[in-house]
Amino acid sequence: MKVLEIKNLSKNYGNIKAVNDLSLSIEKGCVFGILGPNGSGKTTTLGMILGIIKKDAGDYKWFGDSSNKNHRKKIGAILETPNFYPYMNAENNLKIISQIKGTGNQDYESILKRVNLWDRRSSKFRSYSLGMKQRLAIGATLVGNPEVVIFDEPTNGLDPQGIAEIRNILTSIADEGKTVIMASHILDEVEKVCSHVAIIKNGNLLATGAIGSFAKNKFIEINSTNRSNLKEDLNNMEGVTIIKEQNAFIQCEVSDTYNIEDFSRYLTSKNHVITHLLMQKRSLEEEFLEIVK
Amino acid sequence: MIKLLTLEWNKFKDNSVVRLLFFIYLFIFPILMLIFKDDNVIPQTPFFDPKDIFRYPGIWEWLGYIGNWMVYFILGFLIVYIISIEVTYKTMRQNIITGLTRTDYFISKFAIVIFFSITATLYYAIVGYLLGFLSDEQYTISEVFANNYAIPRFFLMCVGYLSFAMFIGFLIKNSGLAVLVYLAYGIMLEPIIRLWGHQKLFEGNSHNYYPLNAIEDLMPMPLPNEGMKDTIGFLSHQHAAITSILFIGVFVFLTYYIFKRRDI
Repeated sequence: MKVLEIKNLSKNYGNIKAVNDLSLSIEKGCVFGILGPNGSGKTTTLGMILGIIKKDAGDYKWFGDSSNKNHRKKIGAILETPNFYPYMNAENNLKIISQIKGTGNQDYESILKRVNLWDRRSSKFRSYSLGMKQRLAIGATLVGNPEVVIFDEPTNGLDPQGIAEIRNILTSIADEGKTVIMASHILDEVEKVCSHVAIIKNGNLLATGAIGSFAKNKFIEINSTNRSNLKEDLNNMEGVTIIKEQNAFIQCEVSDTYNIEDFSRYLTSKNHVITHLLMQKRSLEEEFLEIVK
Repeated sequence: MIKLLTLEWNKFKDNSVVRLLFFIYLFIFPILMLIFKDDNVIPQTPFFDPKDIFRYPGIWEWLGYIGNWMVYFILGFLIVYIISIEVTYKTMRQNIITGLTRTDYFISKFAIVIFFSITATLYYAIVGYLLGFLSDEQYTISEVFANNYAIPRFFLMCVGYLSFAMFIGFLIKNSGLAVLVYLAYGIMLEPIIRLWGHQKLFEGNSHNYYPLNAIEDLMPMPLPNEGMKDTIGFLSHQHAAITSILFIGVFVFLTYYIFKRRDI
């Protein structure tokens, strides 16, 4: 089932095309990353599908229904920054959210414990650190147990410990089977958390699909006791291209379907004793750089 | 509507600015009347006996005139604050993302305008009644309420000022600037446009039909006799009321129109 369908969505700010004819669809249960450099149109896109930025053209459908005005009540979302009433404490801020969503009183204790703020529940929001604010924002998306949660740069500006904390929470939310949509400019983050990704640059959708699906090739790092012949033997192998040579190993590129067993057997038959063998898929970072080139 | 009003109550009941100003209004409004108890403030003249201030129907006019200032400066300020602060905190944005429709959000703010207006009018009626009750003279009920529609006029004045405040609060996204424009327009801008611009260009008294001037004339400064009204240039109650109602319609419509259409 499609949770969200975007068709030809566009938004201009003067002459600048912030979002240009963007179409994508997001299936229920996937963890969908929207990846792009700063200013690529991620937040504008999320703003449009959340009803706060007016679209110039195109359309979007939540839950297969474009006419329902209450669909946002089934979505937990934060955009850019955590937005709360600074003079209110965490619990009262969450109460406002459940009041808007019409969900009645919630189990605020389990939400606040989950984002590690239960001890600070009665402190005013304005006294929180950036990390705590971000965690409260993530907690707020869980109020009313919505089917879909949306995060926009959830780890922006946090220290490594804060980033790790947020990622753990995000992963646990994804593991519950909720549909998660996350915008980020950090490749590593998207790669660690998401199952699917859309890559955006200058408002244009460059690629979309499951993580790893862009990768046509794998990398093999290899070293043997007979280094002098190794390079020659690799050059003679079909479907293997040497990319770089280092002291510790030679890196080669092979096709996605390449059989590593044949590779190993062939080298053994050439009297190589393998001292280093590592097979890697191309990382998202490399894919990303390849795509946005 | 009640749901939205409850939501607003929960948002602002812990806000110290809102609490403080609301209590200031409650205290100052009746206390200001006591200034007139001092005989030196308004001297006795052949046309006017200051004791009339505390006699019906004078009470309604004088108390209403104090309310005129108080509603504009305190309640109007509060409305601008309540609306523009949510822009600053970006909670308006978050409310919409969380699930309110823009229409809901607009109604919740307009509901405060109406709620404040009803509360202030009730308070005006109660204080007006108590002050007369505390004076030594005896009145019949009909004498007490023979006040030339003072209570509906006061209500309309509240809705007028507060609708204007709501309009400014939605129009100007920066909370400090919104408050400044709201106050400056009433104190300086409109009088300057009227008296140095409009009046110089056009004959007659059309310069009196500006929004805040018309709303102000619903509860004008009490005058010793009706005849002075024309000389000073106050609108009649009817003209003030009709003009105010029209401008309230314009403010409410424009607020909704702008808010529905723009990025937030």
